[in-house]
Amino acid sequence: MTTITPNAVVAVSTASRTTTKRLRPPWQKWVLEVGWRHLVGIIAVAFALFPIVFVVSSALNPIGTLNGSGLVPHHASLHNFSQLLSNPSYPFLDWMANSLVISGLATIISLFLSVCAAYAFSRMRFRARRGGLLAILLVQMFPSLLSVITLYLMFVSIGNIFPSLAPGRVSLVLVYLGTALGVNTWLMKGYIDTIPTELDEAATVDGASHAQIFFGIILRLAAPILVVTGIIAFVGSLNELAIANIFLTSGTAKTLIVGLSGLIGGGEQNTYFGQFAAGALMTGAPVVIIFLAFQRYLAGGLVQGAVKS
Amino acid sequence: MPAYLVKMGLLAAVVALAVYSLPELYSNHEWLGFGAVVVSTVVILWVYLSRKRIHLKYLVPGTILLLAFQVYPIAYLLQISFSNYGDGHFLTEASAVAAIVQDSVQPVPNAPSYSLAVATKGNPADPKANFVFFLTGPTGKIYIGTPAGLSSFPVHDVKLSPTGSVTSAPGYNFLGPIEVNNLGARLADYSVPLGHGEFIRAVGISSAYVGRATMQFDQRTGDFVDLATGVKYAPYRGTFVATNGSGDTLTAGWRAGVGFSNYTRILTDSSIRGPFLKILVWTFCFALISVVSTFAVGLFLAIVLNHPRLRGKAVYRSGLLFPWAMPAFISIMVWASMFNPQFGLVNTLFHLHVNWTGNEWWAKAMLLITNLWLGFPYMFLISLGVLQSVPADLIEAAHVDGANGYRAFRNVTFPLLLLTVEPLLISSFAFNFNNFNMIQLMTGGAPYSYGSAIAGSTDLVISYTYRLAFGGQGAQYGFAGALSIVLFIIVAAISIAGLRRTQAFRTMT
Repeated sequence: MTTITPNAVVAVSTASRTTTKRLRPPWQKWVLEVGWRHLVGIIAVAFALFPIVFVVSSALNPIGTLNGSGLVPHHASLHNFSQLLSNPSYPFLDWMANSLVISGLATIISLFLSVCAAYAFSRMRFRARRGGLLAILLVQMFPSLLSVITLYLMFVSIGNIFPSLAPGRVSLVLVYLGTALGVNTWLMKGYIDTIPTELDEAATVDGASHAQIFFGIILRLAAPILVVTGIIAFVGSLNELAIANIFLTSGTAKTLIVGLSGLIGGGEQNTYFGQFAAGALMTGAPVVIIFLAFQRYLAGGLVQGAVKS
Repeated sequence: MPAYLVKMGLLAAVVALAVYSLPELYSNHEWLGFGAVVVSTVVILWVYLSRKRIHLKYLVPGTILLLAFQVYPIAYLLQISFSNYGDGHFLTEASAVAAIVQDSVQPVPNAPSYSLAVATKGNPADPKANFVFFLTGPTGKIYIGTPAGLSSFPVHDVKLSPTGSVTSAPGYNFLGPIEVNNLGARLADYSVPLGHGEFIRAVGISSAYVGRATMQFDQRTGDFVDLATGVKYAPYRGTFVATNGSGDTLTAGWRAGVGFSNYTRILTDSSIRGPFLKILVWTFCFALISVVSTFAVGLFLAIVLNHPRLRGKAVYRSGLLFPWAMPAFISIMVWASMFNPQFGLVNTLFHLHVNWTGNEWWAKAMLLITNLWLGFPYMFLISLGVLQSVPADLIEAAHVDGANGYRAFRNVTFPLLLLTVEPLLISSFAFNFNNFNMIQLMTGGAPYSYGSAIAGSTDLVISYTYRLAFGGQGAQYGFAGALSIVLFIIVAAISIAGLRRTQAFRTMT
């Protein structure tokens, strides 16, 4: 009975409409209901994609300048790529290696440190547990970008005594590790909370130590969240400019963001645009592929983290 | 067993690191670093050599890094914000006094000049060896000059060059011109006192003159007196200021506390207040407009494309994801190039002649358009996820109650959506409030229309602060530190507001 009522209402309303208006042909109905949505979708996708099309075509465009670039290249060639890879004043491959090593190390160590902390907060009960969680929440509100001045001064004075720790690649990794606990501990704790404690208890009964439980059970079952936060953290540190810009000043020590911004900064925007586009493509393509492959998890993880923290 | 060996190996490495670094820190009088290394090493050993304290085994490494590289820099920043640290104020007070005395040395009129030779009892090629001056006076008398004073040297023991300078003397090895030159600052700072405030100094590498400092420092009062003019200079917050009311200062300053003056300067110094308030207002506008525009477009697209009879949803979705998947720094640089007023795609494609980078308002529009492009796909994804998770029977119930599609959305879907995305919107606001990359990579703060070369009209507070500290205009660490602390407080206030929303959300569900 209840299911009939709304249908009945609809029937009445359409009946009354037919008395005032003529019945619409099916294509018009399609346009009003679905067609305009396609139009909006196509416009939105065009807006989303045209910078990307522009980069791809500029990278393939042998003219290599900004004013010679357009949405469609006239002749496709790999000229810009070979120019960029053989340009001694802009050592792109060094930048790429620096970015991979710095971001890679920072990400892996950070993840490990925060999953350790998350395990302790999730599974153990100790004094200052609540206080510790709260402190982490508080600290992560302060982006280290804001203390870039003192981070720099601090490593200058450390470098006066230990030259290998002067502002540079090694000290940059240390700076990134400082934020390890703040960024992901809450998210991971939330995830580990969902792993049933019965698993740990059974293992304890079988004589497993806390380390065996951590490395053998928790770390394995937390793999999805590690992958997700790992990708986000890695791209996050690729994007870090403020500190890297001050710490990495020599040509071969730069990361991609510092190097590429120098390539098209300072009046050279036009001249080197083709090479920049080639570099942008080589940098962006792997990340885009990874993001698209993991999109479901990445977007899901973001919402979850926001709700839980 | 291998696990045990790994653990012991790591602990040994920690101890080795401490043993290596402690003597260096000690000999450089770096007591803070010394204490930090001692405490961390002791804590690490105390935690990991015990069978108890299991939770600490999982917390200690991250916590040490957190304290060293995130908490301490904030405390240090707070300290610096109450000082004048920066260009012109890097020295200690004692070095500043020495530098002022040194800079004020003038040749004494009518005093004799000397031919100079430099000799050592050690190896002349060693730039660190102790050395003395052999001086030939205008009358041909030979002197030996040391930091202790001047004394005459028997003429018949030495050999002279044609210009009169000493070339050899018993018991001394003479430095060649290149070796003398290599002494650098050690030679320039070497002075042979003659009494009455006069002393002999090298000028170049082969002659010396009698000089006298015109600035005299009074150890007792801590003041300087300019002997030439009689003006007195008293120390005030790291600078010597003339006491005659002229406001003249001596160039070398030192690092000193300045109280709250860096903070009050933001509001009282008229050359800073104007630009700063404009920058602050723009920072709020930039963050707010960015959040609202990305959310509005993202939500709109999610609603439009979340229709049951729409085909090709997956294609649209994937297409819209590209801006989100691309590393943001690449996208920003590409957009910056596309907005190039002369050669950029935006002007050529749409046949525009807009001066995107030179006009303040167009530059702001350019930043907001780019940020919309960067941010809307994320908002689209989130909104889509929430829309799809709103229970269908809730909507149906609304329809049964007589709500049309719009009312059902307005009163059922939207409140649910907002509840979920509110913390995200706040964190997006906090992020954009400090969106340094956007400004640095796109405009660099330009155009500079506030009559200042440091405050740009598209600057956010963070990029302005960065330029004060690291820009080419001279490092103002103290003032930039105070601005950073202000930013910290604003960001914390925003984040705490966000946090309370989430807790409200938690208790509601």
